[in-house]
Amino acid sequence: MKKLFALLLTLAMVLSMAACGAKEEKPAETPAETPSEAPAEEAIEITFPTMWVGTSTMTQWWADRIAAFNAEYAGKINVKVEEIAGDQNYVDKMKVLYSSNSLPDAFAAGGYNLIDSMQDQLVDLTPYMDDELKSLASDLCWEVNSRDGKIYGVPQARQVIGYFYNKDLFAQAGIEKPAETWDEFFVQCDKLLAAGITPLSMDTADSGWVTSLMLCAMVADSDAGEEFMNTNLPKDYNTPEFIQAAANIQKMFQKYTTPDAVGGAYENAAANFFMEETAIIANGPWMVSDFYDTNMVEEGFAEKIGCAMYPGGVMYNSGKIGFNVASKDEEHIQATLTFLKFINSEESQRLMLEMTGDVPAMEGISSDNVKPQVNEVLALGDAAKRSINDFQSLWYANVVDEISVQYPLLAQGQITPEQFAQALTDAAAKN
Amino acid sequence: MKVKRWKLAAFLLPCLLLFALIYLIPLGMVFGSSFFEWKAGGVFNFIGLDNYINAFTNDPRMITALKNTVIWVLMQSTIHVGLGTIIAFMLARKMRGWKVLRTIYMFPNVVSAAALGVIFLNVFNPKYGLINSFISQITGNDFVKNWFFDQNSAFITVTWSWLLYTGMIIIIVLAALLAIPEDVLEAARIDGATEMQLNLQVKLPLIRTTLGTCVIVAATSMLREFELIYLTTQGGPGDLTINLPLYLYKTSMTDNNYGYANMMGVVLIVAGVITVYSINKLFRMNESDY
Repeated sequence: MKKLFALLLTLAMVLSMAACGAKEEKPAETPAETPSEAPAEEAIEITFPTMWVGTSTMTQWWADRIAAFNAEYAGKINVKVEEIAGDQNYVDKMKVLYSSNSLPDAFAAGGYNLIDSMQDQLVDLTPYMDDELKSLASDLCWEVNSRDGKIYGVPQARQVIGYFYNKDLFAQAGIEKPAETWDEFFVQCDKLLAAGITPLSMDTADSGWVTSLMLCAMVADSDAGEEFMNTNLPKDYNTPEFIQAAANIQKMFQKYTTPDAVGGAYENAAANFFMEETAIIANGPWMVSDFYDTNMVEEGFAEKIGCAMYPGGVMYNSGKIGFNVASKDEEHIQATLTFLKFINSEESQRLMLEMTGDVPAMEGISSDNVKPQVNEVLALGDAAKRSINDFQSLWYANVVDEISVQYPLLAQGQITPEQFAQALTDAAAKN
Repeated sequence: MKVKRWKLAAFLLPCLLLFALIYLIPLGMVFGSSFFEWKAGGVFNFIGLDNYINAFTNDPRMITALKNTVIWVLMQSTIHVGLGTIIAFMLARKMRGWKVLRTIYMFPNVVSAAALGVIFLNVFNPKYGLINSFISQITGNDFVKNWFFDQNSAFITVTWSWLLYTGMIIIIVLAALLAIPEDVLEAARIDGATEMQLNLQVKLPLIRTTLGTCVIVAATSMLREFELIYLTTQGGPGDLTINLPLYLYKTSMTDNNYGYANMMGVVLIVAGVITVYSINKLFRMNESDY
């Protein structure tokens, strides 16, 4: 009896394991069973991981666009979406997939430059450029997504970034208009301090986005600096402009910002600005929608916010790394391009401008539903004396990461601006 | 009952196959690739011991990570286990409410590391954190300290997030204490042993192997510690709180230097084996006293 029971138990286990491991097979359809029906064409599945989830300003736009795409291409193209929250997590995941040669069909790393480090696995889109695709972005945007004459990314947005300031807090400190030189900027910071207002929102985590925007804008306040800030993958940060800018950042950390800046992330910096604890934050127009979100700010906050160009007439004004394609065969490349043409269509870009404030890559897109600050930023971009690209697009990924390691040391005077520049140079040398 | 060899082999085979597939083969790959320059973009060259030589002679971050890892292993093996043992001895007296206390001590062990990290970030927040607010209340002055990112406090603040939470050690030691045969204790009492003597000279030696287990658990947990550091300081300020697992992660994920990262993996495995072997010897883990 015992033996029989054991035998039955073993049999049951084997069968259940076989059932678990068995590949799910679709019942074979023979022509005899469906003689009058043509064989149904199977939808092509393409993969796309997105960081536009949760509190991302792009979440709503993405939900709208993917729903519209699915409705239009139902049964033809199926986009398998994987949600990855957080820029850094997204980039890290792409690196893991790259190392195992399993990048998704398309990915968009929110402006992070993955072209240079993953070029060998990306599809050269140059042969696929038709009038429709070309018209989706300005030449400037295509240029940022190209290497040695080959196109590796479909642009989605332009990068136009200045800084935002709180007009009420400026008025309390007796400041009439944003500074035109960095000397004047620091005088204004002193005035704000004297009025009991913390001048700047800053951060160090996740490459210290807000802080680094200030750093690079200061670097670009000269011809040599402007050239540096338009150089792809710089190796040497030991330049007078960079060291001077790092010295100013050190001063900002030590004198003009909040106690949670060191170690804090963008969210902390933004929260301080939203709560009117700081007067200035550097960021792009995608932040504007938050100025009107009463879940984040008090009613009427948006009316207090002005936009400014960085001293010296500097603006981040360039193309942005867009969607990269890494499909493995022609069928998937075509399906992915169809998806990207839809996602970057004129309608999609107009909706992006309206819903997120992000500046379209296509020229001439406008809307009456755009928040006034977005138009202000765009006007400032057009009026800039010096146009630069941002560090996340230009610098090596490990240099961008090293910034977060070195900022706290710089802030606390543990290293000098020269050592800061050398640390980034050392990081760049590892590539 | 004698079990036939083929039956033994048949039942062990799936487990052995899984072990080989999930642990042994990847372990061999980690070990093998640590002798290669293996970077993103298809770079894969044999370089012998260069990764190891470079790590120990030319990489200050590696030395800091190794030093921090060793310090945390030592602190966890001594302070953490010692504290847990003392609390377990107190709870073993079964004073009023001991079961409630035992449960309370376990709380940090049942909260996920991600949640703990966020809790600590808020508790030590320089602007609105509990600690700064408490000190401000007591002193009457505005107290501002960036605990996690100040050079003077970062290391100890990160250490704080695991050192004092000894729930697991308490549970293990308490179980061992409660399992000591009553007649042994009774005999000691008849011989005139005081409570202190009973604890130090009878109970403590009797739970030696349990303490050894606790030390192994504590020490190896520090060889694996990653989440709390990543969620709080990410190894900063500078490299002040970096450890080997975090450096391995950064080398692999940020620098895409997989060969060098796998070298660190090998160093960690070797450190783990040495640690466990030493503790086994120190606590004579294969000898039982009763």
